[in-house]
Amino acid sequence: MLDELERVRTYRDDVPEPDAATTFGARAELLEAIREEPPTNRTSKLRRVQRRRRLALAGGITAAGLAVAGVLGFHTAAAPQSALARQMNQLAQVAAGQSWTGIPGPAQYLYTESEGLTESDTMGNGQECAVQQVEHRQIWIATDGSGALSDALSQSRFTSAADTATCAAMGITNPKSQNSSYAGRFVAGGLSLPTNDWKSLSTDPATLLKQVHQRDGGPNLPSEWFENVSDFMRESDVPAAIRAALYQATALIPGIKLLGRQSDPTGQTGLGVAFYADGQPTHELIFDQQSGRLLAEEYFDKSGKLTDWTAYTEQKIVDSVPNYPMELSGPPSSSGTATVRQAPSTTTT
Amino acid sequence: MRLVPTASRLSEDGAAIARSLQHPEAFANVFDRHFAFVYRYVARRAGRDRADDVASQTFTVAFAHRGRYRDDLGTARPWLLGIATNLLRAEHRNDQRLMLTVDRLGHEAVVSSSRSALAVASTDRDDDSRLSNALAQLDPGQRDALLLHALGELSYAEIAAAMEIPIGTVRSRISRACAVLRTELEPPASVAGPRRNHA
Repeated sequence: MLDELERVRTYRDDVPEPDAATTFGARAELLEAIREEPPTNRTSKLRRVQRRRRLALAGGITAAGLAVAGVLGFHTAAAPQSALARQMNQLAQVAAGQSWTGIPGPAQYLYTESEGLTESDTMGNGQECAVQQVEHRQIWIATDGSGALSDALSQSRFTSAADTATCAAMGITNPKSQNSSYAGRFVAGGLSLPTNDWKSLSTDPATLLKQVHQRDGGPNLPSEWFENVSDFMRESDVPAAIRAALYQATALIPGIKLLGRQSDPTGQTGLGVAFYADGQPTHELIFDQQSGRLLAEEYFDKSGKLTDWTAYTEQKIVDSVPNYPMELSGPPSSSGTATVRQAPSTTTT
Repeated sequence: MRLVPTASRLSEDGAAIARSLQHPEAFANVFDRHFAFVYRYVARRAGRDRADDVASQTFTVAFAHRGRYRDDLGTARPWLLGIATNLLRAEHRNDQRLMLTVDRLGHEAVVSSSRSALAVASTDRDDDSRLSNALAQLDPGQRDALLLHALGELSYAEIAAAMEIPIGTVRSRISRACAVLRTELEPPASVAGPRRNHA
């Protein structure tokens, strides 16, 4: 029996380990499954926000997704001199003169702290238990994608009698049982900034709008272009010149309206602009007119009701991260290479 | 015993999978730790072309069913290899056919495209071809147990857990599989003589 076993142990033992492309492809499929997981576990009703944030955890899949973006045919207005354009130009001038943020240097991290309101679903037996939660998030990202993340969901509550009844039918009678928290550190590649190559981006607003869409992906629709711009500004080390151009690019997106002075739920006030669909705002950004910083974003349902918001309360460059547990190994880099552990030898006892 | 996310004695895999129940991204850690090994196990069984799909599918299936993971063994490898094996077995008729096809094609689907690699492997090809034929004669349950042990480097206990069968069944399946292989690989008498003379 030992002879036969030894012979089988050497069977096709010249098969190599998977190459980087194979590993990258398989990992991308897994990350896609993770991102698209049916809501058997907790997921946000506003999948957009969750999905966008998850991209920060998966630089590789971001790069893979970008490959689908082809040549775009924007039909943007030519330098409209509307109130929106004037305000965004002013905001751009403010942003261009700021040095409050920027690209982290060696051993430095971009720190962004935010708080907000989100909704999560738990599904089972064909039913959906929705709870509203307060989210407190802190993220530290270095240019190599290393860093740390702390994300706490608290104050879970049912938002309607129907939700309460549905949740109770699923055995969830105490909404606070849905609270959770997470804290972890990441090796290089575990997190990602919108790009590591800001220099390749144009400061021409129309060109930049195309570039951020090509890099960020998604349907070639004005609503998506606004999301693309948002993605490049949220937890981002966007340089001042590009930030200024992003503001001007925002004014080029059809469906964007100037809202004037707005307050977010934490009391921060700034200049609001929103994307409108069917006469209702769907997504609003609020900017600090003194610093050019993104202060908050809000999402609305079809009736115009505020359903989800995030206030960015602090952003700065820091020199260290908290000593959280090292939780995840890094995904493949955007260049397509992958870190793969060496497979054990085929000898055995 | 189902995995308990708050347990303090979970293995590295167990902790990652537990965490992934609330933070799905954590499951990527399991991929990073085991993909290369699972891929190679599948590739040695079914060829590299199929390994691309099956190894990848193993992790998406595992992710979808991570709530059922049991951390008793302290590693997710048996669980993952069990999933891979079940995926292969689900098409075991194709598996048998492909196993033979791969060898008929001269290992091209298995070995790298490097000509030097093929040349080096050529002396072993006949042996692997005969072994492929012999493995194809095995009962699927016997073949799975044997290959999980020999290629997957799993212990009998780990195979039992991976395939959800008693350890005694694992032992007997491997024993029977080896007996079949011994018979199948026995050189025919008319060939054995001259070979011995050459040696």
